[in-house]
Amino acid sequence: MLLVSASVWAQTNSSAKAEIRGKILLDSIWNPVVYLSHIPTFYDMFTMSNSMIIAESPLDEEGNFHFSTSFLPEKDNLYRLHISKKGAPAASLIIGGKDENHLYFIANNRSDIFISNTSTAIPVSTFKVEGYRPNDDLRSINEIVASADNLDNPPVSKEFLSRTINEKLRVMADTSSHPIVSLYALHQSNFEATYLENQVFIENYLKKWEDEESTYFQSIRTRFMQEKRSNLYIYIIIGVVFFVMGIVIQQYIFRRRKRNRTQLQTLSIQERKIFQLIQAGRSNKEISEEYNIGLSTVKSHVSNIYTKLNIKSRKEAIDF
Amino acid sequence: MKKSIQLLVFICAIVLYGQQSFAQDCTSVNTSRNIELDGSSEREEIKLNVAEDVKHLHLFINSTISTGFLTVEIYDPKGKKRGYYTVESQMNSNTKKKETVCGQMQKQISDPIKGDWVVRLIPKNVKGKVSVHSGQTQEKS
Repeated sequence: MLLVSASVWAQTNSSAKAEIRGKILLDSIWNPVVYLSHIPTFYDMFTMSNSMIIAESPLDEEGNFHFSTSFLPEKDNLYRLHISKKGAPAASLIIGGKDENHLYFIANNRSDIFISNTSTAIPVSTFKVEGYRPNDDLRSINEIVASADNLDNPPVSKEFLSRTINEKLRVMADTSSHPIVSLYALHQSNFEATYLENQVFIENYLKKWEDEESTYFQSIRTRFMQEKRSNLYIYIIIGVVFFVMGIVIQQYIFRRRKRNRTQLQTLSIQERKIFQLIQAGRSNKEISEEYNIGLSTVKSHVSNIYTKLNIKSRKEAIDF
Repeated sequence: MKKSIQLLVFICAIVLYGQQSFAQDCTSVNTSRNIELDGSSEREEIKLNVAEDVKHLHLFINSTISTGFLTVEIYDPKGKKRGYYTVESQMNSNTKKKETVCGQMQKQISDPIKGDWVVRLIPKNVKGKVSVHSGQTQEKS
């Protein structure tokens, strides 16, 4: 009896709590309405369309709003809460600056989340999401990423710090037990740009989460496969280019040798002997001593050799 | 005599202050481009040349579309993507009306890499307007 009562109480209590609510302060430039959008993949975080908006809630005079979470999926998903300026359409996305108008959070159909802010001047930058632990981790990741963007250091230090921050995010991705938080950390670590550097890490990471079938993981896997495929294509193209170059070079050498052989056959026996000594690096004097002939005869033979082989110097004769 | 010294000190202070404020003065170069898209699906690139002595690069991109699908991307001279967003306007299935969608991005980059920064517009059957404003601040030495 006691157990049944406790179960009924727990169910009533959890359904009463299951909502996204909050109290936000806005100045007069904003419409007093908040919109909730479902973000199906991390690549859609900066996509805005009316079809992404799944609910809206007006703000009461004190800035309170609430959404029921009962219609949300059972599993955790990423959502965006945004506001729009007066005169602007509901589907407005402002990225950066003090008028940034959106924040992201994780929720499911049992989530009880409270969102609040502390400033009307920069309403979204001061948003705080409470009530569901994964959102604290999401905030930590955002703070790490923001620290990379706001660096007033020389470019060299920025590069170094950016690498350090990406490394830190990869560690967070590796150690987080929450799939969306983990993947969010990886996504923020600029992993696509540094894919080749961290290929082994990413492959092991995806293997670790191979049972995760959410659209977040599916989209990353697809992108990763595309990246892998495009790299494979690059390697294949490079391989084919080198193969073709090899054939062309081989053909060139073969034709040159054939041409050289033909030209060599035009030389007399004596000229061929002298040519061999020229190729061995002997001087005219050494050749005349070797074959016991006059220096002027050697010069005459050399001149004939040059003409027949269409060369102009001893160096060309050696390279022939 | 005392008054003359005070006057001299005052003049010196003004001259020094003037020199100092001149030394810290900044110059800025602003550009602005408005693009109207009338069902366009052609990619467009806006190049912003950043010189070596530029301390800050400000970018402000605003787009309002009533039809189609538009992606705006920002690339630094090394080809690294530094920001993006997508806006998509579809016909409302209930009202059968096209709905306007807005996207806006504001970016301030300190010590930007020298070279051509690119704002790339990738539209798909887009009807709407895009404006790209940029400002470069150089510090006078």
